[in-house]
Amino acid sequence: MAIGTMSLLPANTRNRRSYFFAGPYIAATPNKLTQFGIAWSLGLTGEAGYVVALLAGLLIGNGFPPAAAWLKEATRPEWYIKTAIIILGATLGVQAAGAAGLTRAILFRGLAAIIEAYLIYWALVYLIARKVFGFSREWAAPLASGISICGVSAAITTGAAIRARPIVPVMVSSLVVVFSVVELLVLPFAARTFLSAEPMVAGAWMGLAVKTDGAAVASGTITEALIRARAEEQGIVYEEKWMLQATTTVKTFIDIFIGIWAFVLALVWAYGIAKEPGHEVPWSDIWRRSPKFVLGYFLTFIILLSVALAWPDRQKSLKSAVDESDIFRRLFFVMTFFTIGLGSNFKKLWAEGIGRLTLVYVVSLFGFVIWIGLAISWLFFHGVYPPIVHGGG
Amino acid sequence: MEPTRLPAPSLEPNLAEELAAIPYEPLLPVEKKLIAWSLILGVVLLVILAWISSTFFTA
Repeated sequence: MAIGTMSLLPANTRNRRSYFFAGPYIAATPNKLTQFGIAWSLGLTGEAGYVVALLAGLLIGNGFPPAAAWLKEATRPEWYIKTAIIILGATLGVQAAGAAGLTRAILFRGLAAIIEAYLIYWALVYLIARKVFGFSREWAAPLASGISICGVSAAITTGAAIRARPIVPVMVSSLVVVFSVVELLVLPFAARTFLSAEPMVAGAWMGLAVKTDGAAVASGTITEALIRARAEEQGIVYEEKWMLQATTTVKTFIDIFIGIWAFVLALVWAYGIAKEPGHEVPWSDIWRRSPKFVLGYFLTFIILLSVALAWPDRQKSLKSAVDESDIFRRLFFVMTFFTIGLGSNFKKLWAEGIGRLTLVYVVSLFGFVIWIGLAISWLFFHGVYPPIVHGGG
Repeated sequence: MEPTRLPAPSLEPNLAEELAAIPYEPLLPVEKKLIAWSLILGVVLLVILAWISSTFFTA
């Protein structure tokens, strides 16, 4: 409740509260260090609440498994992140009206980035899983989708498309969830260190590298907070949410393509590998296998953008309206962080026999998925900057 | 993303046996084609999409 309340508070109040709850070492921005008498802090501002929520979830999930099991039905991260993303669509729609050219660029470049990621990531991970680690097709395909595309749903959708047994996507999904938390805790800080000068590259990188919607958007949120705080040290204040827009755009396009990629795999398996007589793959499979919540995101985004462009004189009141709804977005983000932590059972890594699976995951994720994601993000987003509120002159 | 409820976790204890029992399956020509076409298409589109981005979608 404290964490949720902290995120609901207006920015200036929220910052003061976050210092109270999470401590200056987590939340204080560089210009506040002297005020708190400290030499260093993470500079997370109010977003510190999200990290606290994640840590609280991890603590309960790994330290009190019965409590986590009791909460399980009510703490599925996808419920919270999907609602938050749809609300975020409205906010970004109004924001986009003020910079239509930048929005068009983010949308196209995001689409281009994920086409590249799909084609390169999947083929490489599948090849390594099959040739280097000796996995069968049934294991290699969900592994490739889970590691390279979008985690849990991609693994499950691919498993269904190639008719794998349920144990395959279950085990792949367990690894995806655990490693997405590791990425969430590491990559935003790496982005702050190495990509402060290229904020949109950092935002897109989170969308391409971090698996699962919840962890990716969460990483984008933390990355934006860290990089904006770093920029403020140099007197540059970036407008909020543009880095997060890059993350969200990339991630929602990835979700759209899950259905298409699963359809391609179903065709290859049905007509090239399994060759089951009489088994056909209908076009409707694309729709059936696609996550539908992305429609909600694009609908709120397009409706609010259209209204803002059609009635420019109403933009101020529209902005006030979406600012109010942003309170709920923050609340759902808090719940997303908390439930991601709660569902991440690190003990799975010690399960008998999982070493080989873990190895292929670690080698692929940290060996090239993250770095190819960075290269693609750099290629399509370098030189693209969020609007500057002031400074940087 | 994680939209689908995971199947029953009761299957997990068999993991070690499952992984130990994975049969050797050589790469079929259709798998090689899938990998090759995916990578070739990826590289070709990389050039095309990067050009379109920098030409028509400048920020």
